[in-house]
Amino acid sequence: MPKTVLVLCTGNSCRSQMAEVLLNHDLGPQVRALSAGTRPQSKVADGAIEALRLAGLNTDGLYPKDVDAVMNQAIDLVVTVCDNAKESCPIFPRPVPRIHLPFHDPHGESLESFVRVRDEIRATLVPAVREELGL
Amino acid sequence: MTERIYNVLFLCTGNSARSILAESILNLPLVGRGKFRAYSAGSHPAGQVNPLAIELLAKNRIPTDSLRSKNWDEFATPGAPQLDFVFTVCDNAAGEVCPVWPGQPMTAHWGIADPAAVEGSEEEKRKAFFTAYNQLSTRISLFSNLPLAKLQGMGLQQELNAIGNLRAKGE
Repeated sequence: MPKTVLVLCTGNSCRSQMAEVLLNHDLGPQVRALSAGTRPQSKVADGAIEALRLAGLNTDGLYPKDVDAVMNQAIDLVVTVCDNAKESCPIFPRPVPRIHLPFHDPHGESLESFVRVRDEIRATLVPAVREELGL
Repeated sequence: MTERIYNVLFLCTGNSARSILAESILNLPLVGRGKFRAYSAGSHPAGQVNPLAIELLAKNRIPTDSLRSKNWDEFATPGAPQLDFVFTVCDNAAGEVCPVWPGQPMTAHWGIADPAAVEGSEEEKRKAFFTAYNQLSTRISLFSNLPLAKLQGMGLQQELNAIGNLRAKGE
């Protein structure tokens, strides 16, 4: 039975989307990752899609969604990835284990910036989730 | 339990572009996470870091002050850091002769094309540096993400080799 991880931020267009794809790729099939935001943007950022493709990752079917859309799912771990210093991080209103790992928001920046955040997420968030779930 | 800090050396011939980028990426706090100390060196150092490497790092707010092109001899002297991992990032596919580091550290070959060898417009050169940066960053984040405390010997070597095989798998 895979563990379900929900990655949360505000827009669900950059960091949380990249985290979802990286978790599914690096920790699947033990982990099933979802992402959502409290104020979902209209689309996943082009830079996020391009950075994921550049790492050989599949981006099919990604779209920003409201946290309400995943409320009915059984969630084992919530990961918030927003940068408290610059934005308010969403709360997941259910008693689920939660970790917070802030990453820079590359929105509107160069592709290099997305690549940097992509790999910071891979190097930091993936092992943190693995450890938190005891995998 | 605190895990130890692993010393990692990135090697190529010139130590002016690829190995410099690799050292800088692994030393990023959110990539190496304090678990690694990265160095770089070359078997025939160019003597200066490629300006386009510096430009790319600076653009991404990655520190460049301590970067220099240096001979691998420095890591073979008494008092040099004890190396745990040595990764070669030069391109045998393009006929480059990769230095070989003998002895105890775990080694792997993560060859990628030399961005400094690209001829063309400034734009094409910058693009080549970005490609190298993307490829190295992918490899290094996968490496940093390995559960090193659990992996040993053959298992670890296989993981390190698999990272080097990204290119053969059509990256």
